Amino acid sequence: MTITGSIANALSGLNATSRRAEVVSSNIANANTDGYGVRQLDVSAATVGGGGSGVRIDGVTRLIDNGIIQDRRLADAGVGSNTTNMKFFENLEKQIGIPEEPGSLSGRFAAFESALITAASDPASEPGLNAALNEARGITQHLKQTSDGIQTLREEADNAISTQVKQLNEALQQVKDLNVSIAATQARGLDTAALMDQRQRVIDGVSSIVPVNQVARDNGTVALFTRGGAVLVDSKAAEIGFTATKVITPGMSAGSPLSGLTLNGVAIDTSSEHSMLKGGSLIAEFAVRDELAPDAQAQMDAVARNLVERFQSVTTDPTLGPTDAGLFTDGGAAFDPLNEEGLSARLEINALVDPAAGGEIRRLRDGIGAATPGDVGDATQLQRLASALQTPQTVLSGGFSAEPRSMTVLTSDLLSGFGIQRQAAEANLSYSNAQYETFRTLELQAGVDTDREMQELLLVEQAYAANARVLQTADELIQMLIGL
Amino acid sequence: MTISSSLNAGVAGLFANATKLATISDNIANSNTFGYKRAMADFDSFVITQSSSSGTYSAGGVRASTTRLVEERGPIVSTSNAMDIAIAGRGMLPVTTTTSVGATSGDQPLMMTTTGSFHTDSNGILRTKSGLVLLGVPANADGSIDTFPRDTTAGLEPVRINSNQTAGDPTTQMNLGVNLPATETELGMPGTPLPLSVEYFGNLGTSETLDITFTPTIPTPPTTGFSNTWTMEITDSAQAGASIGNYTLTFDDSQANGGTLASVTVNSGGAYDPATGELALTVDGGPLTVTIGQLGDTNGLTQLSDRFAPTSITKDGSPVGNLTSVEIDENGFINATYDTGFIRRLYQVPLVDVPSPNNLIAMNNQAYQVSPNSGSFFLWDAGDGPTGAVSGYAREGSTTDVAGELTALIQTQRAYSSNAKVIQTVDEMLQETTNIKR
Repeated sequence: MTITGSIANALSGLNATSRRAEVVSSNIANANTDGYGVRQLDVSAATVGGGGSGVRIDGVTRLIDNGIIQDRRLADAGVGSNTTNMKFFENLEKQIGIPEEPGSLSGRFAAFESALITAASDPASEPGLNAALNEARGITQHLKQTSDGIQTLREEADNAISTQVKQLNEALQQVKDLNVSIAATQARGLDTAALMDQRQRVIDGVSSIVPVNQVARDNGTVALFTRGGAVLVDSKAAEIGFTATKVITPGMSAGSPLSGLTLNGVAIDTSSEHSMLKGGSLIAEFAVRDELAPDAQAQMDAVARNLVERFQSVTTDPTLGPTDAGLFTDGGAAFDPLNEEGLSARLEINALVDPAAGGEIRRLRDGIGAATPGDVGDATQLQRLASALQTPQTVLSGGFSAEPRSMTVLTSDLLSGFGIQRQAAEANLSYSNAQYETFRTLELQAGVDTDREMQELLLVEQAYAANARVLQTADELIQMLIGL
Repeated sequence: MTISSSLNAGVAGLFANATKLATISDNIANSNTFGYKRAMADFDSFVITQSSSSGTYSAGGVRASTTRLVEERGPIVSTSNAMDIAIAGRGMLPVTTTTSVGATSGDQPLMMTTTGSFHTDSNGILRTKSGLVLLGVPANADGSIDTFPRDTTAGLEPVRINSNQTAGDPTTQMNLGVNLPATETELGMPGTPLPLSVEYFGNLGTSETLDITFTPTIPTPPTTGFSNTWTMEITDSAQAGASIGNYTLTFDDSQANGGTLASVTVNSGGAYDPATGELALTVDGGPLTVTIGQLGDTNGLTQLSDRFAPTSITKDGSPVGNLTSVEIDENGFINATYDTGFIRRLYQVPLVDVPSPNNLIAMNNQAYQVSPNSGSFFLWDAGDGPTGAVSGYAREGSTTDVAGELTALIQTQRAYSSNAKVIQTVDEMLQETTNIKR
């Protein structure tokens, strides 16, 4: 009977319209929710057994632009990587100090030099000698602090790697679990949009750690890859392994004893050039731990070596024997070029001159090897010490160019080298930040448009009224028939 | 005696119209019964006087006969239950009674119905509330249906769906769409192997992995440039990491086919078929075909630029899942969907058709049985021959047209009162005759 048919049609219309109102209300309610994909109700004309039978709800589509999200995630990884780099150089610069500041490394060298010159003007004055000795001690302490600071940065990087690996593993497991839930929900014919929102948020959460590439798979599930080709999730979640090291010293390097990364139990490259996980903050932290900080340490050691060698020389102090230590020692002993690594942390004042260690301050004036006190008015040795700092010398290690430098020039070169690297990292960061913001804006533009939703709501109201009217008319028709 | 024949004809008219009234009332009562087929009363006249010249006329009266119009189809109404089944066209669903399913002896009587709302009972048997049990042909584990006799009920059994059932689906096919970084084969590169692990599902639904490593061949000086050669080693986790294939892959660097496979050399393990681009590997559970692409094919393994991109790996099979829903498709196949997204065919419901459906014996609950007049039945695949398609989420409405029945009701009332008038008139006339003698 056709009147029954029209009642069924109107009823399906009412159902679809009220469902549409639900979708619109959800969109409006989530207009400001991060990671919310705009929902749209899909309807089509229902056919049952070849004939029309009202309207059918096909499902709710979540409208998102995967391309933009993809690009935004890659930009996010760039931000993560460059932030880590920038922070490292910023910290390093702070450790060494800006040249103009009195507590900076170059400030200390300048102070040591002037203290030596002052002492040379009045060699008999013990306070003058003590002042020079204090400045020399200040230099050793500063170098030691900087070296410790660099190792602390490495420890922090190691710690950050451990945290990020944990975070990544948890997120990958969550994505895998959400994949399973989405497939199951879809198999039940239910709405998966909320689960997809959640999954998108989880993936966004790790996109700064590694650059993730999302590829759609069957039943609404996704696979995640890094740009370097490591499979993070593809029906199974990858297990990334890492062991944190509590205390890091200059001699420790990646592999022995510092932990590398394993992907599903297989060791993978962690170098910033070849790693499969490169591009995000994780490998940037590895770069800090294994590349940037050791390089900085090597440069600090080169500076320390240069300093030691200036004083551990017969030219500077004729009283020294060929195996005697100069004013600055490698942990109390003479410096051996084979033992350069970590020198800046071991630098000490020669105990023979240090009254606190039972030495005699006069040896600063007489020469370290002078067994008996010399003439108190002789400033020759003090002048030699001062000129040892000023003489341009070639730095033999640490990747410095062959050009001879005085000690002050060397320290300012060291610092400006780090400064340039920081500026480069800052420029990279602002570039990737701008890129991130661009994609983020594009993504938000495709988000909920409240005006459009309100317009949709008006249409919903009209459609609901029209369907209700059909129901009423059908009822009146039947009433008329019964009234015959 | 003509006057008494009029009386008899009047009474016959009353009787016939009462019969028609009964069909109308039945139709209206069942105007909302799904699957109800309208009953119709047909009137036939009796003739007593054969000769037209005899001068007298005896009224023969009327005889009513009823038929059920099984062939007439009601409108199809959509519902929300997946196992609400209707048929768009000819053919009926094979059903039997609940009592016969539990019986240890005797045949299951074949009954048929055009529509039903089937739900599983405590034993997992799909039945209607009125006690009709759906019959179907069970599918094999791989979803295929064996041939079954089409003119007997021997192949049919009650459809039983175990809602707690789990099922897995082993992987037999894999498509390895991987891009290898061409730059890694250049002189001076470290030659680090690229690992890739791909999950597959064993015969028992266990999750296993194929661990594939791609090792670039670095040219030995004086050779420079790119070697474009890789060694692909495949190991199977189900065989404790034993190698199941080792291949040397060379890629093309020509302008026309740059980046595609130029040659595949089998060092050990399954053979490579250049015609199909498949590797015939043998994993623990049996053969596994891995497609790496034909030579010169851009869709399989490629070697372009500097990115390792194992992004287009596809495979069949699924992990073990729980049954989430059961639906019937238009061909009458009952498919179970598992929560892993895997769909398995459980039964085929054939459609029963007889040459003369109007002559079927109508039973309770809109069911019909074969009668000698209807002709013998044949089990068709839905949509084949004269039969229509099966629709899930749908029911066939009653064929009763209330407006038509109400009109017929008015006609019947008129006819009934006219016949009563005839009886009244005959009575009055007989009274007149009786009154002649005082």
